[in-house]
Amino acid sequence: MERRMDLRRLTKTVFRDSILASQLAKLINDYWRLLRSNGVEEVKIMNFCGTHEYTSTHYGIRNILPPGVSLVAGPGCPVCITPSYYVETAVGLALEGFTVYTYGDAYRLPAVREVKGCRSLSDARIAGADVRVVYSFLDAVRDAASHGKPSVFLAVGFETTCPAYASAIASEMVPSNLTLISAGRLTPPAARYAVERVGTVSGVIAPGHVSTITGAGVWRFLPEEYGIPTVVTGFEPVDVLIAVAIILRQLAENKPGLVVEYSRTVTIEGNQRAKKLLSQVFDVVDSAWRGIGFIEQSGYALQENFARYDAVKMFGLREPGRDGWKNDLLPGCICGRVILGAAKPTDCPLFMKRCTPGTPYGPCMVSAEGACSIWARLGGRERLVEVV
Amino acid sequence: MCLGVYGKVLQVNEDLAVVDFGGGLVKEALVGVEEVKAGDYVVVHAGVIVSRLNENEFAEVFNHVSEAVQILASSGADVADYWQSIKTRLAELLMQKPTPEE
Ligand code: SF4
Repeated sequence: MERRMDLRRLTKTVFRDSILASQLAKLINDYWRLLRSNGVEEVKIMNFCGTHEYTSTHYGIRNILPPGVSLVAGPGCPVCITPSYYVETAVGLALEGFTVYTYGDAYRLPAVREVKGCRSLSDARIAGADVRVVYSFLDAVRDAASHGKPSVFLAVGFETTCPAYASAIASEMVPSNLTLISAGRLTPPAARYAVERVGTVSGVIAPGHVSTITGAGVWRFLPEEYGIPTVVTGFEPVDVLIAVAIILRQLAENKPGLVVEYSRTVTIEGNQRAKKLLSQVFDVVDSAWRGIGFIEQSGYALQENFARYDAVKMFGLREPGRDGWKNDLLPGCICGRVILGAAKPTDCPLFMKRCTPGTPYGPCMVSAEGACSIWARLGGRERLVEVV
Repeated sequence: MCLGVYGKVLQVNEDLAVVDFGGGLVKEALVGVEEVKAGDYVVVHAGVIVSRLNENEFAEVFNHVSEAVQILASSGADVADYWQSIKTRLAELLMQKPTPEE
């Protein structure tokens, strides 16, 4: 195809177009009428990705869907599900004199237990610790190499983020003074957990950028084993509307399948190079998800031959055990239910009272991809329609 | 953190690429995919190029919409109007002139 315009601009032009959006809304309404005439009363579509929650809320997509079609959040915010234990460990190390790096989203993540009066890395920094927020793991690698002081990276993230750690470790770029608290997680096991526990999910909007790495093929189990229409979707409003239309169509036809709507950058096989690096550096192990508990084969642990990069092993820390794990949310916070699509942020009695984006009490209020933070900043269902 | 930002690759030196994110923001990113070259449009996540954008696929996704419309029409729904409107609008958008950046 002859290149006509900048692809970034093309994305915005096509996938944010209000005329396309309003016509797609009509298509969705027609499918909903068809489903209603077949006796369907409710369709609950779960998104797994905080960025989809952002798109749905920011563009007011919930407001243009038929009343029986709801979009609910899933466990797709890596900061929200990072166990409190890792935050406490990082805060402890920071207060002992380590330089601690992390991404901006995890900087204010509150722990359940205070460590020497500090509940987050931001508290530790106020208390005088050396906590540095970075944009990428590479920035931390370079910075740690330049000062040579004992340093730790709070390495949160899903399949999209973890190849950066794997790549730097495998290519021996990481200096000997930098270790990782490896808190990386895999999304498909959490998706399985959510649809099994929540039970009423009629369709899934699968994560777009996670799928650039894993390949869309990892989501086949949803239609094949659970009969749930699944669409790997892009992050613009028209992308989400197309996904909803495809899901309603599959429900009306009773033919659940996997569709890659985000084909402009997602393939079925995924990113082979990144997948190879991940399997060279990490083992996949049973792991804890904050507010949820242990999920089988859902976490990345550094392999034995990379133990020198593993802060937990190097400094004799403990991993949260299955037996010792307790619901690691502060009293009253219902994040565990919010990220399983079982409650809306506004169902939480603390929402915008004790818990606000300025003073987050629970983990879903911290990250830009946390459902509570998104609803707090953008108004949740109350937002006026922007696209039509 | 599923957030990915679209950028245009300006230059590649082995494992590092210089990426233009528009609006004057140019940053280095680790090359996380095979065979990235200058001029490619890519998705960057936390400082790593995680995938490329495939231009040919931009309009393809509307084939799903087209199928959906046809199925509705075969069930007796009157969909001709909005389907025509989607096709016309899409053609207009895709045929817009190149931007000065190109
Ligand atoms: S509003 Fe705050 S306390 Fe309530 S569920 Fe959300 S993050 Fe937790």
